[in-house]
Amino acid sequence: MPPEPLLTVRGLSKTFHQRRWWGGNAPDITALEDVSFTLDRGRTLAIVGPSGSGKSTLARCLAGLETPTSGEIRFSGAPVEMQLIFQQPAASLNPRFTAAEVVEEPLVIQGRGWRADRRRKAELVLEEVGLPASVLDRRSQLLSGGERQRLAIARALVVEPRLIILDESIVGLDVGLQQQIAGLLIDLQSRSSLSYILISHDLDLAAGLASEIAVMDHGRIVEQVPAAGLKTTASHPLTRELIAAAKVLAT
Amino acid sequence: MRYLARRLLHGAFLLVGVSVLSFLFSDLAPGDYYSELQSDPRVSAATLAALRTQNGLDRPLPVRYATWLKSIGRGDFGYSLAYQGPVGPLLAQRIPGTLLLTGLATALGWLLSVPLGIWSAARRRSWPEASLKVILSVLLSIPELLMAIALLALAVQTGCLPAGGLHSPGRADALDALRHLVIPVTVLTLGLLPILVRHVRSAVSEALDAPFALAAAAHGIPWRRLLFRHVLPVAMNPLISLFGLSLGSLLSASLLVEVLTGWPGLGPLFLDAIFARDYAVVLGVVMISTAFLIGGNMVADLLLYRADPRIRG
Repeated sequence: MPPEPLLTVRGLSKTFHQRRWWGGNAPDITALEDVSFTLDRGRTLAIVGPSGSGKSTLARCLAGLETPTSGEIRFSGAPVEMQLIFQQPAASLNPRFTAAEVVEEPLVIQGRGWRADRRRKAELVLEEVGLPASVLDRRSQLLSGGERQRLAIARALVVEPRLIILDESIVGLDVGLQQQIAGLLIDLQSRSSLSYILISHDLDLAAGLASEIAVMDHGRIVEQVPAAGLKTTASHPLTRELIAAAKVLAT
Repeated sequence: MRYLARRLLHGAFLLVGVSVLSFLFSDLAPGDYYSELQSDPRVSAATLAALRTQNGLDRPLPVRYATWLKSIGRGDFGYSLAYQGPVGPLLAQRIPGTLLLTGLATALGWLLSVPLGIWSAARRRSWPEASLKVILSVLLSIPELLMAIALLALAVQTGCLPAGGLHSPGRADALDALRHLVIPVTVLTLGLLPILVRHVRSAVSEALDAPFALAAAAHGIPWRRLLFRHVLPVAMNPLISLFGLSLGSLLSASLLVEVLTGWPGLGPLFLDAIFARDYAVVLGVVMISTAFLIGGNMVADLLLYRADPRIRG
């Protein structure tokens, strides 16, 4: 029998009911419709699609921030072993916290370790994401954009997760920095069989990081193909369109 | 340290500016202390002129200003024609009363408005919060004058509280003074409360809506920790500056309330001096109030300096 996948999603649907402010109901919005996929340990699934295709709703359902209308999410691990990194991770850091406080906070909430242990753990994790120990006591608002990206990743890493969901977390960076962060993510994966779900509208980035690519449109997964050889295997018109729009893949 | 020196220098300049302007304006106002006597047939014009000369009212403006400044240096704050003595001791006698009122009202106002503001920011768009907002809007629209009169009328009607002054006749104990404090302090606190609560609410809700707070909430950080560790430290800065400002507005409200409730503070002294055209006393009260105001803002600046590393940088 093959080992159980890390994450199994079956028939996931999410409908938003809208209320008009003067009473009565507006038409429902179906954000997700019958979404199914599995993800194994140490693999990366990219979910790509245009704006409004339901990518972020999927991420939020997985992370438990939304309750799905129907369907099943099975994660073989403790809830805390799934970590979500938001869009604009740099803005998601408290400007008044020092780097050490940012990284240690999940441990404090979990009630893990003594002060000195937590500090040591923070130092280790910062080293893992390539931040020098000198930033430990610097407030996050004084760090550069790239350093804050790394800090947001360190914050997710500190609880030793099995799955990290990156919701458009590395878009909006300059290309060099994006490459650096992508390299860091691959590096971390090879060291500790981490899995990623990468939510993105950038097919170039997705193809560079992921082993599988799922294409979403209007709340459905319209196609799921291996990242390698994407150009030849993809058949759905939307996928072809996204490939045509991507810079690197098109050439 | 340089920041402190700069603030002190700034405050000193402001004091000098206020002294020049208020001296000028008091001189521009028509009439002087002896104008009343002009209509008295028993006092001759020559006597009036002699009195004015004797008290230096006929000397040129810069000379009088210089004399006044010198007397401030001695702590006299000029010579009161109505009280026939230096202004300094008069002020010293009244300052504690005003400080007691404003100090109590400031402490009470902030103690009430910080929890109320946090509570209302945390419970936005719920009906208890909406009703608090209505109550505060009503309070905001009632002038302190009206509120004081209403409370005094109530006190007289029911007889449960003394209607003015510092002591009841024949009593001088602390409990009695405390009972006399209730009405003026209530009026001042209620006047201050709506403004403070609104500011606390908006500062806290702004911090609650910041991306980092949303992210923290989504990360499952417990509500209490989110509020006290993440949101409040960020919301603090605008409130600290507000603290300095609140002292100023409270001081002017206090003068009015003191007059109405017969509280022995600077207010009644100020009003009597204006009616009597006893300008030395008027100027003295203005200078002391300005000094309070500048001092309050200086304290706020120092607190801000301690709280926010960006100012230090």
